[in-house]
Amino acid sequence: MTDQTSAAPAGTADTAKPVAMSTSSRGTKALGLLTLVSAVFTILYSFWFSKADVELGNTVRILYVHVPTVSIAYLCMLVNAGASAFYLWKRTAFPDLLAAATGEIGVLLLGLTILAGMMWGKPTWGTFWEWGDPRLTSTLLLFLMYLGYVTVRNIPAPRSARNTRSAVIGIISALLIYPVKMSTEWWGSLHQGRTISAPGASKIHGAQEFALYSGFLTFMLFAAWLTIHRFRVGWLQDQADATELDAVIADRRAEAGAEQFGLGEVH
Amino acid sequence: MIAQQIQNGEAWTYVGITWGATAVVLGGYVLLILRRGKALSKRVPEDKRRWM
Repeated sequence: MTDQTSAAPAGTADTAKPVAMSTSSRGTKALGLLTLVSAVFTILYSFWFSKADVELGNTVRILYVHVPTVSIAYLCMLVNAGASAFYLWKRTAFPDLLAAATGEIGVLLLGLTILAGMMWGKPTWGTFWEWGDPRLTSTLLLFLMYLGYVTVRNIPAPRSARNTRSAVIGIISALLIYPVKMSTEWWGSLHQGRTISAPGASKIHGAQEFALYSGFLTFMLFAAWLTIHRFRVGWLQDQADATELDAVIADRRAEAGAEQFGLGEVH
Repeated sequence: MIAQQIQNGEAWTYVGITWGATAVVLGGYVLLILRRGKALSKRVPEDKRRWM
């Protein structure tokens, strides 16, 4: 996370202001530090202060990753849908880049959620995967839809067409989040229902509850930090493409000018 | 009881895989993003490298 800087060209108004040579800034460094501190607390509470559960034993420690990752994945996907809708309305770069960043991070976190769920399912249910279970299969479908979103973003196409296609896929994919969330209540499922926001009272207490909330905070801070960096990478990519395109156009113009000049000499 | 079925050693294996995979995948992605950012910064003129 080193941040190399170089001075702006002499003679410009911004001579004294250093220009970032990476996607880091003072803000992201502070946020990154906060994320690290929060991660240390989460690890301490997950492995030291939180004891093995009476029923679940040490597998409860898998839930400190599984529950926060899925919640923050949903959050990323909802931001993605909002940014996608805003892009279709305004057609500006900012919402498109935000959608690209949150879509990619969302699918990554959801993939880890599925993996953590499988690791929890094997010792608890006796199986890594149950195809007949609505929560598991609908989550996999959501994951595949966002994988499709990321794929469409990376297929070479005119920028406007790519952005529009991916925005539409992002909005459609987000429509699946609510059915996935409610699947344990709408249909019978091996997967347990709500733990924290259960009607009545929370089913988790003490150090276990704190470890879970600490996990939420850590993954939220991490996702925010990562979104900023991923956003800047997308922005830099667009700038690099535009700069290179400008250079190619300038070369072609120079070549065309030289040819015209050459023909003029013949005549 | 489920707790009796979940042997301690077996549970720790799955806990280790979950936390280890999470750290490796997210750490790898972070490295990828930071490296891409650095590489792209070199291709973009200085006046276009400032953040919005």
